[in-house]
Amino acid sequence: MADRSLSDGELEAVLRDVGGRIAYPAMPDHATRVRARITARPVAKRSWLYALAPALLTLLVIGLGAAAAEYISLHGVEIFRVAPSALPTRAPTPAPSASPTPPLGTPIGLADARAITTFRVIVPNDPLLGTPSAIFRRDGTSGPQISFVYVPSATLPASAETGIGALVTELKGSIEFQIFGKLIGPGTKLENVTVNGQKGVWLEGAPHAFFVTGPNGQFIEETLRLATNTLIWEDGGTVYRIEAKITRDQALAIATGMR
Amino acid sequence: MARAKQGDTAAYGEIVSLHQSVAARAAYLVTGNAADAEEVTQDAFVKAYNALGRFRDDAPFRPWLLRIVTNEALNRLKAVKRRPTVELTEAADRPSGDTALSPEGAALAGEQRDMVRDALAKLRDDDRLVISYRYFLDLSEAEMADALGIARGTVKSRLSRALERLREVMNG
Repeated sequence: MADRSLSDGELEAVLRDVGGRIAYPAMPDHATRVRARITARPVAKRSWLYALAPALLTLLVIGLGAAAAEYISLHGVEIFRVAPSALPTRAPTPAPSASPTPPLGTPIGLADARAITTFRVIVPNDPLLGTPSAIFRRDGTSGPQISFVYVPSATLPASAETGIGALVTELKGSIEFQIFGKLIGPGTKLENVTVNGQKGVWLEGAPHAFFVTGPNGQFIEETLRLATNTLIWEDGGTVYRIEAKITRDQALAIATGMR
Repeated sequence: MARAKQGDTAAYGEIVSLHQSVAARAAYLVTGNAADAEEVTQDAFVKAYNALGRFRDDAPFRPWLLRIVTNEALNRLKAVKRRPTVELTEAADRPSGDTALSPEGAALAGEQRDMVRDALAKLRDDDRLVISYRYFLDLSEAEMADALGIARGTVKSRLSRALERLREVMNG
């Protein structure tokens, strides 16, 4: 029987010995595969704005409204679950022109954003996100929508869909004004959560699309984009949304710390 | 690195070749699954490339990369809702390091390894992660701090607590 009372040094030596004996699985040469994936995306020339351009973002809405098979309702937000056959198959349109219209609106400072809105604009205060790279204002039928954009970092992976690290969006939300819908396919997990005591939803998994519709289901804005994992909640008549390739707990921590 | 940051994919390929082994081992230690580890490793290198613009030239690349690998692997683990079950059994073709020991000594060393493996399997994931990175990947505390996204002092205390809990499990 082994002696269980190993000294610190002995325990560390055994651990290193165990580690040195692990049968790691054989791995392919990643260099070739990684190069194949990045060839078309040179770092110096990449622009997240281009990645967000509306030409790519308008393609998913076709025919989805009537296809909603199941939905949950949050105040001001409806989230539809659709059958796989309802998902659009139209190919993406060509790359955007040299001067795409920013789908998030026009840049604005935080003070101005707070001045023009009738809801409480709060800002993430989490080291995972850091300082927003830009703030945008976009005017919709329910008033201004404020978006905080964060570029990718070592701890904040770039969204494969948008190329940005995180997007935090705030808008006045009410079921009477508009339905802020979100389509999710079978590859997306939906989970009810609570943010500061308020009802919210966590969506995780395959990319899914946001869109805005009117009360009767008609599309009234073209603010569609592909989203990564998303936390969305409503507080005091305002809808808040965090989109990033982060975990649910990370998103909840960011949400809880917003001031 | 400068070339890679300018979009030279061949240069980045060299960086991948240089670091893929440690990245893949880290991914495997977190996910406990070969297929997941392979995907995580590849995704992490692509993400690292996309984030190269934020990488400081004077910083070491390995811990920065491992942080991306770790995040990616933890996200994968969460997505598949599976507890990692890293096979800590010994590689069959690995030459025994016990040849210099007496038969009794070799048997005792083998028992100690089994005991530690059993205890590791019962540890919490975060405890096992910090121990794995320190002793299996042989990362320094500074590298662990970067890779795990925590302060150096926190690395020390977390490692100490993890080893304490390992001992508790071993002592039944």
